[in-house]
Amino acid sequence: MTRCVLELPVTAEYSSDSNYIQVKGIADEKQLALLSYQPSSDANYRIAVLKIHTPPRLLSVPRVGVKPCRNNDTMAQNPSQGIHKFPDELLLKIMEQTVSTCDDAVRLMLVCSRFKSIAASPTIWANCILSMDLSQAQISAIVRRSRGLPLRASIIFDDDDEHWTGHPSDAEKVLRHSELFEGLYIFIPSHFDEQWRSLPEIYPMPQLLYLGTSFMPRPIAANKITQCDIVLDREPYSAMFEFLASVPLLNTLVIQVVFIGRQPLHLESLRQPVSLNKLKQMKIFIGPNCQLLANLFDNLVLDNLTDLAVVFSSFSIVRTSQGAAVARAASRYRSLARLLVTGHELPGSHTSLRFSEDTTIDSFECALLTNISNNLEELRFVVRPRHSVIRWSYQQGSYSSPDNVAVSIFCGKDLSTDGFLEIINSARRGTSEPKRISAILCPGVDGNRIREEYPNALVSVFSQPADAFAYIVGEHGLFCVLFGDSLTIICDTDELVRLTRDSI
Amino acid sequence: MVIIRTADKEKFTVDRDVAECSVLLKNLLEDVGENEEEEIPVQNINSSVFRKVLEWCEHHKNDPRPASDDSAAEESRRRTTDISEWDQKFIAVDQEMLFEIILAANYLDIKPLLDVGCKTVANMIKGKTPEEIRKLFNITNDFTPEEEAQIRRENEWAEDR
Repeated sequence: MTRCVLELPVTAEYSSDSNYIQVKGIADEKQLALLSYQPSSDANYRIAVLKIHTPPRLLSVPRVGVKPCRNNDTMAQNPSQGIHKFPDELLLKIMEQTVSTCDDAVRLMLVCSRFKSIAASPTIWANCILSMDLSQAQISAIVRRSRGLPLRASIIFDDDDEHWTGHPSDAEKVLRHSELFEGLYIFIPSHFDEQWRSLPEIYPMPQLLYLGTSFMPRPIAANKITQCDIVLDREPYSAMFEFLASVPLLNTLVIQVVFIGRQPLHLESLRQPVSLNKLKQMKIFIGPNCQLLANLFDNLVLDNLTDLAVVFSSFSIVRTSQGAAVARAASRYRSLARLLVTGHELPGSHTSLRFSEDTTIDSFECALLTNISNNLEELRFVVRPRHSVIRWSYQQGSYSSPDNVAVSIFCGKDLSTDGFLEIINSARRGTSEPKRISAILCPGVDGNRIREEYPNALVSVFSQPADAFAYIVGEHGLFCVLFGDSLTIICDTDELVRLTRDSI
Repeated sequence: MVIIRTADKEKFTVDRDVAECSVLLKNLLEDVGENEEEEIPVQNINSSVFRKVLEWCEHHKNDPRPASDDSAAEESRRRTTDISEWDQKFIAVDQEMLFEIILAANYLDIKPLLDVGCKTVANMIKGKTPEEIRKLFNITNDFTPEEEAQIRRENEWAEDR
């Protein structure tokens, strides 16, 4: 469920070209080097990316039956060698995965005549995202060359953007093609004209399958939307349910709670809960200083939900009670196969970001406080240093573990190897072995000894901040944080929350 | 168990579950029924590549099979460029073997393996200049200078910011 931006993996062994591309032109050389990950990185590295934009999520839209428009006489290479052994369809399939901008497509066209022919295919151009930073000529060319195929669009404005007046017409050059949109991502300043909330009424989007917004949209009349990212930023909360009720085909939902409050938000219970029978995956991102919606789940009937993730910001005070609340809510969904509760963590940031000592979830307590379904394939609590212990769920009066409960993350600066092992053994209490053990920023832990003790587990030890950063990026997507006195944006593949300096 | 014969006449005895990762083999096996003596020929694949493909199938034999009618899920899987850790290690082979695996996956109709291969090649291409791509795959630039200039002219708008 967790992927990095542009969905390339990033692990300690695998550098992230995608992250590099993503922040190119924004981050400085040193930051870029860190994002590309070098094992020899300075242990004192800090990332200071001020701003980053997440591209629209990729959509699940089949484009079948479109063949590359190649003429036979363009075969200038030896067809029996190397990449030329591939038929056009295979090359097209590969190229489609490399193109998201006009530049990408043109670069391919310049390789050789065969590449040029294949790169001229409409599906290649339909992969280019219509965005505000494109010229009118570029937008027209994408629309023309994609020959009516559905397109994705991205509308992003900054507070200081000279073209931003707050009205949808600011984005006219993109929105005029709305009938082609299969996906639309909107990220705009918090002061905006209310018309943005009703955009599909002003600009018809009959093919829209994905909608991502930095605000709560109004209910949309007859639509085919299957994926949504929405932001709950202000009252009335009931607007969220009204919107959700209007998208009955929803398959994947991401809710970002960025309304700041020290207490859990209580939604007024609806007379008739909203039923989303098609919904299979739901992810809730709890922003800094925000709380989980206390009775969110009371108002949603989700009979086919298989994946639930609740992600607390590193800057939230996350207590066991909240983890337990999620687990308890999850236990009502019999179809649930995977539950993830996590608090994001950035290594090396404790002092400057003033983490609360309370920011921890004791998953053992969570398990005791709830009755998590035995059907779960995966239960994962990811917790932060010091009190970080993963424990197994408590079921049917004994300590037992679903077979695939496999992920353990232990962190602690003052932890010795013996202490580390003691925690694992204590948490296991004789149940099955963990499949993965990760020691993040535990300089006193000897990975070889852990491996000897748990030969069947995948043991990873990340001692340096840069190592840990790369690991966390790989696990949880890309974070972008301005260290010092404020945070600007946290960015993950599946969730994006914009945090102004004032909100920290 | 089923017996599969590769293009270079080598025979492989394979668990049916493993073989059925391939839609092509699955269909062929349905045709031959329970007759375990009958050899299934795979004409376009030699033994070294087939061995590698079997390694992948063995590891993934319990994965849910992509439903043929779930085009949305397939597209989603195809669009994402992440590759699991095991698959990354599996596909860390020389370029020629990588291409052979892709062709074999295409022939055998093993979509998830085909995706892994194509994503790997796509990741190799990403961010590279035309010249770097040519060098990477040993591609001859068959454009005349005039043709190349014309392509650039025709696509000048792409750089028009």
